[in-house]
Amino acid sequence: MPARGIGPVSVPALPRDVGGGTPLPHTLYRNNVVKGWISLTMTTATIADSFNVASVTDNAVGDFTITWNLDFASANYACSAFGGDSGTIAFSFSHNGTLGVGSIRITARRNDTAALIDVDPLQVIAIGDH
Amino acid sequence: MPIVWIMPDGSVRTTHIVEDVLAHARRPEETVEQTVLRMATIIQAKTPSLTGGVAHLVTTAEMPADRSQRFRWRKHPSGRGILVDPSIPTPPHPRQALLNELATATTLTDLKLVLQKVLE
Repeated sequence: MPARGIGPVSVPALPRDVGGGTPLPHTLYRNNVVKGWISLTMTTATIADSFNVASVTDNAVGDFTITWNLDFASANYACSAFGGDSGTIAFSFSHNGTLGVGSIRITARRNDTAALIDVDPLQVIAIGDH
Repeated sequence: MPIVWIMPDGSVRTTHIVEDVLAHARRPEETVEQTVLRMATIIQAKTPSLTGGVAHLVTTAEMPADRSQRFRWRKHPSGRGILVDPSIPTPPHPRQALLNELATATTLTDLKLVLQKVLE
């Protein structure tokens, strides 16, 4: 069982970038592998599929926290969120200033009213150091 | 089996554990409920938004299906499940201050100022 995780996660032993040098083309490194992702239906808090996700927490409409199974080594990881478009409402995502090594809180807001909104599906990927 | 967190302000948060993670975490001597509660402690430690929350277990059937009044979700007095408390006031609109300015605008200049704030 990993030291920081809830359950085992199998990560292949990959080399890191060497001294900040130029990466080789078409090469996997430890720090260019996706370390976590999820596809989530916010309106029902249903997880369609995921990797390295222990749980999701429904804080409010348009306000969810994803808790990673194996934590990141630091909060300096990159995360991207994407969501289904109703066709009439534009929205944007933010991590609400609470990005942590073990979890990330994501809010979805309407661009016109700034109100929180559930987005189906919410799709998130995260890349960083374990 | 969702975990319901009763927060210090009475509001409700719910956590859903990934099925595969739950199955793998379960120890032979544990019931599912015991595993979920054990994991709840781990998840809470990793999740700042759950700080101060008290965990309860509910079934999906004991939770409202309609999220239109999600802000009114509160713990049921019986201790089981979640109810919609109509006494909880509607939270202010995110741009309530701007809406108030619009409502009190009486001149074209007032309206221009409101519009300017929207566009800037």
